[in-house]
Amino acid sequence: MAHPEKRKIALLSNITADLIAAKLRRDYEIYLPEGFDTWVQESIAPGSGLYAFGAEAVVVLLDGTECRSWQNREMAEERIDLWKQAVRALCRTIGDRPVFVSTLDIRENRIRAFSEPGFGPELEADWLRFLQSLMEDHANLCLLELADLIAEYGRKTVYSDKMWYLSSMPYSRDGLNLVSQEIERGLRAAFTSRKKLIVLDLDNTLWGGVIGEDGLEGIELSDHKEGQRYYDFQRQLLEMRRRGVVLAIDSKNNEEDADSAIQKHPAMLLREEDFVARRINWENKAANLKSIARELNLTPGGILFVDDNPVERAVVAGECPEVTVPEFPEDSSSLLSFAEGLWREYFQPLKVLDEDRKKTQMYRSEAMRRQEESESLNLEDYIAKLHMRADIHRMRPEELERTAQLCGKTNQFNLTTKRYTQAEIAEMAATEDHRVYVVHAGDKYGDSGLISVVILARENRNVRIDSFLMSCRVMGRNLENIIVGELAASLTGADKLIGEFRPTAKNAPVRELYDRLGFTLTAESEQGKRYELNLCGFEKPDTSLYESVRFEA
Amino acid sequence: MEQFLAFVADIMGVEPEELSAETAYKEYEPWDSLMMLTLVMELEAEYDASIPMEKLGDVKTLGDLYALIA
Repeated sequence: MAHPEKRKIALLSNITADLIAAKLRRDYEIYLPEGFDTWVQESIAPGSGLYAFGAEAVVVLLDGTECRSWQNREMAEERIDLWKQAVRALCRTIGDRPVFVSTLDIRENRIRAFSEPGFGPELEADWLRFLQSLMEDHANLCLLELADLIAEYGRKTVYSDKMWYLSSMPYSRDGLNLVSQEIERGLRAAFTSRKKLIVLDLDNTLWGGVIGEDGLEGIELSDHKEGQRYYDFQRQLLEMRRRGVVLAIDSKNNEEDADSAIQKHPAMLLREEDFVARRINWENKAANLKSIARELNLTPGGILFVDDNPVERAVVAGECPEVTVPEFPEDSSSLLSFAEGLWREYFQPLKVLDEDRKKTQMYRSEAMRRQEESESLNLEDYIAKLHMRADIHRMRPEELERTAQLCGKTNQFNLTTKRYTQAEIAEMAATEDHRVYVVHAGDKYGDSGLISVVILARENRNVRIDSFLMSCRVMGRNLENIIVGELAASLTGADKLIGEFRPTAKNAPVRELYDRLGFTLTAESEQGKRYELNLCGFEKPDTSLYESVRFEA
Repeated sequence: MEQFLAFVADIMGVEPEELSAETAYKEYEPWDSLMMLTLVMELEAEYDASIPMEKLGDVKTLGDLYALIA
């Protein structure tokens, strides 16, 4: 998503990081502490330039080359203890903005006998354990997987002793690029929206061969030997599915042939219930993909299309230019790393929440609801058939993370689009003059989870709806009437309920919301509209269409 | 030499016409000590060469630097 100003990033390191900062400055405003290796002091002192900078994310890049001057293990541990203190202070002081801390690669080059083990590996493991335990208290702490990156490319590629001696910066040109790219990858995950859906071909993509010709016994798919290429690819996709990526099928096949594999093949890891939509027919694949996007209410920018056939890829890329169409590996033995690459580039989030884990189930329930909708006579009939439940209550501490996530990403049903952070929301929830409400919804097909947030602000005798947002999954089911009705009815001490609409590029669906809810327009300008609802004599709307509405003031 | 100057200009983000074998380290503004490091790193990778550290102190001009990798 475009951001008019560059995001502010603090880069902390025990090496001279100017060259890395120079690369990052293309896209970010970078704070680099003055002086060599001053990051520990900066992190520990609350009044330091680091905290005055107001970073939106912090990157701590720690290099293990200095271990060459650590004469023994005690000295090493003393040094690393200092780092631990600094990282702890940083996580405590920075609030809920992401903090990326690197894993360690300790390159000892120590003179030793065959029977003399080095202490690097143990220190590396100890550092990782420290970060893991710190994550339990600090949800904003993320790993910059430097050690993994260096292992993948090799120390001979990544490091340059010449650069180390010349500049206290240990990387070669390639190393510098790799490390910078890895930092940028983390920052992209923090600040840009991730893709949501992978639309998959079947033949020669999820298995080897053509099911319609080779048959159930003939396709290549097994948990060992050659067929394991596809088995491993499916496992990667299944793991992504478990972390919130949704999967769909777009395949040219006879449906019964495809189904025989999906339902009966013993080595198939992805089954019917792992897909949220499917088009198995002989139609144009781009048309199929568009119809899947419509069905799931997803924008093409959130979709990836994976197909081994270059002709199909060209068709989709041509007709749906916003859909991402990666090259498919020529050699199927690289399918496993191909999938990992897709995950790292397009999907990997900072954190997986419970809502993400349930996403496939939610989309599948949604499909069943739509089926119900098409069979219903009118909206009331449809809502009644769904047996809707709503639970409106003050936000609980364990709901803070999801509340902030929803504030951060809801675009369509969002009246004021104020992107509050966790800390800001927690602060409002704790003060007398604000109230933070959340809404859980469910129906006979399942629980939709926490899907709406309302923040009320007291203004003298009136109450203003500071924020009102709802996940698009539950739009159009009368829920907004129920939420506002319940809240309005509970505000017995207030005169008026004030509503505001601030237009953005995406929130047109709620432009007339307060008109529909019976509010009176009192002011209108380019910045938006202001409404009020007289609370004196306000009558709570009818909620009988819902199976249950629970409200807790 | 021409190719070398074009490569250096690209790294420095300047026009190749601004550079010559006589362009002097620390006198020509874009060529500061940080740029020297970048150049050593980029030239070694580009020309698959190793520039001995002890020779670096004697580099006064781009011509001197070119002599180390040519």
